[in-house]
Amino acid sequence: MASVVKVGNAAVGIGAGGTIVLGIWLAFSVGGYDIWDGWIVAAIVLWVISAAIGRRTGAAYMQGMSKAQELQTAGQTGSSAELLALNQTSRGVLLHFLTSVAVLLILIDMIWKPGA
Amino acid sequence: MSVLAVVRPDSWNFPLFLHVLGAMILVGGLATGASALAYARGEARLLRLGYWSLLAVSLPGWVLMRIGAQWIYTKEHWDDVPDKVRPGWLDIGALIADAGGLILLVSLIAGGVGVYRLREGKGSGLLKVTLVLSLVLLAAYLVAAWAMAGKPD
Repeated sequence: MASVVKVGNAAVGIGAGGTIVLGIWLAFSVGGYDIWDGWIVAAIVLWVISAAIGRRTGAAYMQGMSKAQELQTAGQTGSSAELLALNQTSRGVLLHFLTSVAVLLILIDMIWKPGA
Repeated sequence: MSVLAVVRPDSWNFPLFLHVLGAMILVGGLATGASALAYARGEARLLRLGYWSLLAVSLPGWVLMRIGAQWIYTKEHWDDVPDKVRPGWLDIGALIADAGGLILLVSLIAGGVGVYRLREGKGSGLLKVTLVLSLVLLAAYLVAAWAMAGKPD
């Protein structure tokens, strides 16, 4: 599972970095748009919010995986109440949902361009 | 093209939103499915996760993307434009979307039989076919995304 998580993290990193760098470059280079346009500022703010919540989502999901690896290294392969409690938390799912909402709002903002 | 984007009528926004949202879901499902199948190393749980990512995420994403595409295609009146003058990016996108849908269906059928065989304790060879097809699809859809977003001509 760790390898799949690495692919996901790499994809999110490339996607998030690519959208902000290329987005700002487009705002400066394409005529008809300015970086201070309301919908572009809104998109940048939403990007910052989604990146911040996304980082917390990753950390919340990794707690269970890190604990499992820690227990495996220590030779404990049986059930663990602490690991079960970490895996049953809904914090990761809630943060993931909020990140998805922020990304969805970016897409809506990009297409409808409110105020443009 | 930027001028065209600025003056895009509001009535085109929702179909475009569905098209892009569907494409995002489709590519996300393919990336998850392909990576789970690639790193499963015979582990049944990851093989199933890979297959179900394709079936429950990529397939609905493809349907949404294709509905949005046809809707905005009609709204922009591309069906009234002769084939000769239709831009290349549109043909690239349409070809990859339709051929990709067919390949996705084949990969899902192969994967479905593969998951069934896995349950019977047989090999996971068919899921390797699903993996190869999903990697091909992922590459093709990246080309389509470049063509649709960059509109090279």
